Amino acid sequence: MKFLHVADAHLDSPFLGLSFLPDNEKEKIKRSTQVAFTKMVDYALANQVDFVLLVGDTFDSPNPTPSSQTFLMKQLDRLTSNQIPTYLSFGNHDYMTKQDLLVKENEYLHIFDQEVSTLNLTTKAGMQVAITGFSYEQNHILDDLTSQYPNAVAGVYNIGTLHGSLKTTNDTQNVYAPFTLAELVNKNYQYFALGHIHKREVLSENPLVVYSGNLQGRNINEATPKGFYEVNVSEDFQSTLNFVSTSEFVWQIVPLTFVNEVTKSNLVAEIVDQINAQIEQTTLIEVAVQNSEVLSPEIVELMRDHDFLTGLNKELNYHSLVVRSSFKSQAKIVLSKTDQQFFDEATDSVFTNDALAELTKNIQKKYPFAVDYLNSPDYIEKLKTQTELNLKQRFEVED
Amino acid sequence: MKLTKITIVNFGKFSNRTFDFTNPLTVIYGANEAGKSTLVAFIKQVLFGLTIKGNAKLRNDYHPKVMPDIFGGSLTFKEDVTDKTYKLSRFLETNNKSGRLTVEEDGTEVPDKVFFDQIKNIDETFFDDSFLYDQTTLAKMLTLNEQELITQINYLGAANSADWLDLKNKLEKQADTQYKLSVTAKKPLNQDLKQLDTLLAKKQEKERELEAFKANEEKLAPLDKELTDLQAKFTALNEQQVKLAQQQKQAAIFAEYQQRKEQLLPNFVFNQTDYEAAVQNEATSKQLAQKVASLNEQLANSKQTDQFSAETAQKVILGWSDINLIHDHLVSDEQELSEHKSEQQRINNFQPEVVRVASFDEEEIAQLRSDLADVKAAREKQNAPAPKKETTMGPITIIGFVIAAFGMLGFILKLPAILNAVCLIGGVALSLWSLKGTGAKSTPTEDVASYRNLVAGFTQKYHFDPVANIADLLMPAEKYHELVKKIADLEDKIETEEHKIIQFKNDNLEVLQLTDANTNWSVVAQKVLGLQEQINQQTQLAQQQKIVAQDLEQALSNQKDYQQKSALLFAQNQVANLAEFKKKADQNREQTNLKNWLELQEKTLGKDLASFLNKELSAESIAKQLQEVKTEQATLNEQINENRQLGSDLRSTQNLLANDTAVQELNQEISDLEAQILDQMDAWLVNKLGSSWISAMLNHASKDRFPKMEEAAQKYFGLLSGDRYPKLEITEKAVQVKNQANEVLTPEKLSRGTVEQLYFALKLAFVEQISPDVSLPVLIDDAFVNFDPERVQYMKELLDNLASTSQVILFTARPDIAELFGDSDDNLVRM
Repeated sequence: MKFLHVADAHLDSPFLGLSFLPDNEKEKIKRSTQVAFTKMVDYALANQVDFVLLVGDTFDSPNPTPSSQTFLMKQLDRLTSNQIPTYLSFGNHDYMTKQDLLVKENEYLHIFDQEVSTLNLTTKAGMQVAITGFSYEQNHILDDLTSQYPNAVAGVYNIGTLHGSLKTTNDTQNVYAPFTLAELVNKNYQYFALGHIHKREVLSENPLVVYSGNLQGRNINEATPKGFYEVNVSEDFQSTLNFVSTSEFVWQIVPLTFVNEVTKSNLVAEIVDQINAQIEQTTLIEVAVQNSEVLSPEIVELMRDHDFLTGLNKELNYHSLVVRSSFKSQAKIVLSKTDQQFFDEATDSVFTNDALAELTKNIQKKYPFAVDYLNSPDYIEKLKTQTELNLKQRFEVED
Repeated sequence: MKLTKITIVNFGKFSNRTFDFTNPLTVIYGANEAGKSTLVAFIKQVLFGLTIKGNAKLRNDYHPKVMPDIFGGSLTFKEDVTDKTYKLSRFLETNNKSGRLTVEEDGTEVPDKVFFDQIKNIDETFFDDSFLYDQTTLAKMLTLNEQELITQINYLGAANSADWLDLKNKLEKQADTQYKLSVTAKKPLNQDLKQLDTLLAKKQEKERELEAFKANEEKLAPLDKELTDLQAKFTALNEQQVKLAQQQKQAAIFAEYQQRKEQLLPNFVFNQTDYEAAVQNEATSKQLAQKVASLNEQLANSKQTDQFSAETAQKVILGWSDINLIHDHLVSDEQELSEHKSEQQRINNFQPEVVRVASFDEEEIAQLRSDLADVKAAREKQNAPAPKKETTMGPITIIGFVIAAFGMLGFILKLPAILNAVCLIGGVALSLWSLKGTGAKSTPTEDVASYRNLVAGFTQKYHFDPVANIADLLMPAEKYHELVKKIADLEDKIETEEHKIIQFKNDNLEVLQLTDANTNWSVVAQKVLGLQEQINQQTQLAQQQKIVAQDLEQALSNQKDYQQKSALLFAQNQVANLAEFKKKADQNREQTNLKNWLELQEKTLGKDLASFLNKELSAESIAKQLQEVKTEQATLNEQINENRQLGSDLRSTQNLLANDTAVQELNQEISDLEAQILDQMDAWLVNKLGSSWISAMLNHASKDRFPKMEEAAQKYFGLLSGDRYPKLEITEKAVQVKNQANEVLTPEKLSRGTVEQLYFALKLAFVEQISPDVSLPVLIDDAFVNFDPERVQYMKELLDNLASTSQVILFTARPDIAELFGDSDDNLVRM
C-alpha cells in the first residue's frame, strides 16, 4: 500500500517580500502553489496511490477565492474520479466547514469535522486502514486533542492526521492543537501525518510521526526543499518514506562572506559568484552577508537597495532572483568587561516573549499575521542578532 | 579617588596657586567673586577639557582674551584602594583648544584611559549631574522631569553610561519616529497599519462580494438538478410523443384497415385452374380463328389467279421448241452467211481478177486464154525479168479507201457496228495491200518494150496483170461462182426462218406480253420460261388449295371443340363468358391483395389492433393525448429555457467572480504591506529593544545599588526634611514619598524646598552608591545657600555621613556654614 501525506498547500497564498519583482516573475511565483498541488495530483495518479491525506491549510485563508476553490475542486475531482480516496482536513489557515467548500464530499472525498473522528478504509489489496483526524473551524485550537484520538486497532494500519504544533513552554504559542510527541508515540499508531509546520521533519522514526512540510516555499523562512511524502507500507506495516519535491523554485538564504576587499566595482561579481556557487535550481534568494564588518556603510546601503538587488538577477543561474539582503557582523560590541557582563545579564530579560508581547500587544491584538511572525520560534534570536548589529553600528558611529 | 591637590598655573583669576586636600570633607570659604566657582570650573575643565560645555560667560571668564603663555594646571588624585597617585595636567595648546591632557600614574605618564577607566569613563554631563551641586545644577535638576531623573538614577553606574543613555534615547526617539502605540500617531508603521486596516476592510468587502459566488454555486446545484429533471421529463415526453405519433400512424392504418376490410367479399369463390384453362381455351380459339381466317384468305387469293389461261400457255409452250429450233438455225445460218459474205468480199477486194474471170462467158475465156498465151510468149522471148510494179494508187486502193470511209460513215450513222468495223478495217487493209502490189518497174529494152506493150495492152483489156497459168484464174473463178450461189441460198433460207419467227411472235404477243414482234428473242425466251413457271405455279397452287381446304375444315372442327369446353368452364364457374371470368379473376386478385394487405396491417397494428377494435384506442384519443403532450412539452421547454437562462446568467456571473483577481491582488497587496509592516516592525523593535537592552544593561549595572540607594536617599531625605517624610520609594518609573500621615505623594505635590531636598537626597544617595565605581569628589558650591539654619544643621549631618564614603568639597560664602563645617584648620581653606 502506498499513500501520500500532503499538508499546507496554502493555495492562494500571497508571497512575502516580492513587491519589487517584475510582474511576470511575480505572476510565476504566485502560480507556484497551484503548480505544486497539480504536481502532487499528477504523482498520485501516475503512481496509483491508495489514498491521499491533505492535512490542513490547503487554502491560505478561510475565505479562499473562487478561482482557488474551483482549482481545488478540479484537482480533487481528478483524484476522486480515479477512485483515489482523499482525506481532507482544514487547518488554522483554512478553518472552515465542508459547506464552505465548493467541492462536496463524495464516495472518495472525505472531509474531517471539527470533532476527532476515525474513517476506515480497505485498500484494493485488502489492507485495513483507520484514519483519525479533525478540522479547524476557528483559527486556534487551544486544547490538546490527542486524548480524543482512539487507541490503535490491532491488525489495522492506524494513521493519525493532525494539523498542529508541539507544545511549548510559551502558552501564546500553544494555540494550534498543541500536542506532545510522547502522547502521539503512545497512541501506538503506525503513522502520524502532521501538518502546520512548513519545515519537513520526522519527529519520531518508530512510530513515524512526520511533518511533510508545505508543497511550495512561500518566503525565505521556508527555505528547505518542499513537497510531500509518499509512504510505502509493507504487508507487515513497515512504512518507508519517500520525499517527492513539488517546488517550482526554492527559497534559500545564501550566506556571503567577503574575503577580498569589496568595492563598488567588484561588488556585483563578488556577490554573483558566491550565489551561483551555492544554488542548484531556480531559487529565490536572500543574500546573508556574514561579515558585514568588512563592508563600508555605502556598500551596505547599496546592498539594501532593491534596484541593486534586481540588477543582480540577470547574472544568476537558473533564472534565480535575489529578493532581499541581510547582514551579520562577526565583530562583537566592544564593551568594557563589566558592561559586557551587564549586557549579557540584560539579554535574558530583554529578549523575552513577554517583553515582545508587551511591546507589540497593540499589533498582536489586531493582526494575526504579526502574531504568527512574532511568535515564530527563532524570531527572538533574529531580533537579538539584528539589535546587536544595530547597537554595534550605532555605538561605533556614536563613538 | 580622592583629590589631594589642585595646582593652577594660569586659570581665570588664579596664577600659580595650589590647594591641598587632606580631609574627606573640605570647606572652601570665600566671599562672593573670590574664585570659588573658578575653582570648580578648573576641576571640571582639567577633567573634561578646557573648552567645556556650559555657560559661555563662565568659559570666557576662565579663558582671558589675552591668554598667558601657559594656561591650565593639574589635579592630583589618590586612588583609595591601590594608593596610586594620578596627576592630570591640562594645558592649552594652539591646535588643541580643549587643552592637552597628560596623565601620570605615580609620576609616570600613562594613557588617559588608565585614569578614566577608573571613573567608568563618565562624561562632563554625568559629572555635573552627579558630583556638582551648585545653583545651576540644582536648577537644572529641578527642570528634569521625574522620569528623566529616575532614568538618570537608574542608569548611572556603567562605563559610558552617558553614551549608552544617549544612544538609548536616540534609539527611543528613532523608534518613536517609526511607531507609536498611540492610536492617533502618524508614524510610518502606524500609517501602514492604518493602510492595512483599510485594505483588510476592502478585502472583507470584496470577500463579501465573493460570498455571492458560494451562494450562486449553491443555487446552481439545484438549478442543474432541476434542469436534469426537466430534461428527463422532456425526454420522457418525447418518447411518449414518438409513441403517440406511432399510434397515430397505427390509427390511420387502422382506419384504412377498417375501410378496406369492408371490401372483402364474404363468399367469393374462384377456381384458378378453371380460369387458366378458360384463358388457355380462349387463346387457342383465337389462334384457330386466325388460322381459319388465314386459310380463307389463302383460298380467296388462289381463286384470283384462275384468270390465267393455262391452255393458251400450254399451246405456246408446245410450239416453243420448234420455233426455238428455227431460231437456232437462223442464228447459225446468219453466221454462215456472214462468213460467206466475208469471203466474197475478200475475193472482191483482193482477187478482182477472179471475180472478172468468173463473170466471163466461154468466149471471153477463150480470148483470155489466147491473150495469156501471147503474153507468155513475149515474156519468154525477152527473158526479161518480170517488170517491177510501180507504186501507184490503183483502183483497189481507192475501193479500199471507199470501203473504209463507208465504215467510218457507218459509225457516224450508227449502222450495225460489226458491219462498220468490217468495212473500216477491210477498206484500210485493201488500200494498203493495193499500194504494195502496184510498185513494178519496166525495163527499157526492145523486147522488153514489146513485152511491155503487150502486158500493158493486156492489163488495159482485162484490168489485171497477165498470169502465167490460166488455171490459176479459172479454178478460183469456179469457186467464186459456188460461193455466190451459197450466199443466195442462205439468204433465202434466213428469210423463211425469220418470217416464221415473226409469225410466232405476232401470234403470241398477248400471251407473252410482248409489245411487238421485234422483241428480242432472248426476251421472248424469258417470257416463255416465265410462262412455263406460271403454269408450274398454277399447278402447285391448286394442290395447296386442296391442303388449305382440308386444314380449314380441321380448324373449324377444333374451334368448335374449344368453344364447347369453354362453355362448360363458364357454366361451372358461373360466368357468361371469358370477359366475365376475367373480371372475376381480377376481382379474385383484388380480394387476395386485400387479404394480404389486411394481414400485413394486422401484423403492423399488432397488439394495438385489439385496442383499436375494442375502442380503447382511437385516433381522436391519440390526437388529444398528443396535443396534451405537446402542450406539456412547450411548458417544459419554457421551463428548461428559463432554467438555462438562469444557469447561464449565474455561470457567467460565476465566471466573472472566479476570474476576479481583485482579491488575489488585494491579498498580494496586503501581503506586501504586511511584509513592509513586519520589516518596519523589525526595525522598530530593533530600536525599541536596543533601547530596552541598554536600559536593562544599565539596570543591571545599577541593580545592586538600587535598594541601597533608596535606603540612603530615604535616610538623607529624612535628614533634610526633619523626618517629615519617613518613606521614600524609588521605582523604575517614579519617585514617591509618604508623609507621616502615610499619604503617598509624588514630587509635584511637594513644595519647592522639599523637592530640592528630595533631589539633594537622591543625588547624594546616588553618589554614595556609585562611589565604589566612580569615586570623585562631590563639589557643593553654595548649593544650600538658602537653607535655614535648622536645615543647614541637617545638611551637616548629611555631609558628614556622605564624607564617610565620598570626598566632599564644600564651597561657601556663608561664614556660619564655613564655621559649622570647617571644624578644623585641616579642612577649612580660606580663599
